[in-house]
Amino acid sequence: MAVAAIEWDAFVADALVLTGLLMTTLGVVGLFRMPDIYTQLHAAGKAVVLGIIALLVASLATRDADIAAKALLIAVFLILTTPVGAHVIARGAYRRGECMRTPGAIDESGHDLNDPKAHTPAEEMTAGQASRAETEEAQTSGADG
Amino acid sequence: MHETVFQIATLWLALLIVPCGVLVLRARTASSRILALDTLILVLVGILVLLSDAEGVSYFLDAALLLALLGFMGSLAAARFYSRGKIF
Repeated sequence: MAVAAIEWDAFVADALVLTGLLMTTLGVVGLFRMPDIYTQLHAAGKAVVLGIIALLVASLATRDADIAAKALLIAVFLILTTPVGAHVIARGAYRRGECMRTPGAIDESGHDLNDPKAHTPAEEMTAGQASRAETEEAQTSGADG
Repeated sequence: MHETVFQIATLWLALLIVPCGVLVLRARTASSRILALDTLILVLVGILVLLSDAEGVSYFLDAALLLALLGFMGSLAAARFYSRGKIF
């Protein structure tokens, strides 16, 4: 029975590792396939992090208290910090005026970011547009903190 | 079986560094590059976790935690600099 239990542990750990690999790979593929930063954040912010957390859960099968505690710490840290990082990146892209290239995307903020033809990309932003974005940021920074 | 899966997983994650590095160098916008760098650091954390499992020691997880912390702070600072031209 003991041998069977150990093999079952290893099987679950292997399955979790393979699941984590699959999700991480799909997240990286999503980074290539998604047309703009707002949809790339979906792939990187959810799939990759959940894949790494699957790897961390798989490390519980080693039955080592040190490894389990540190893996739990890393998992909690990743769950707490990844949405913050994704939010900051998306807000930076939004304030630089990066357009939404996804077909059917609707920009409900009124900044007209949903038409690639009508908006200059962020790299070609002129100084006047940059200063306007700065003033808009100063006006809206009180609202969305 | 167990060791084989861990070796394949480590090799696969190491190979995943390559497309992330390509994205860091070649992505269309700077925010995409910041995101690709964040993803690359997460893949490195995954490699360290797998190494810690395979060796049975917990030292690699210290490095993984530190790497996750530094990666978060780095992408935060880079995104803020990208957004407003200054970090603070």
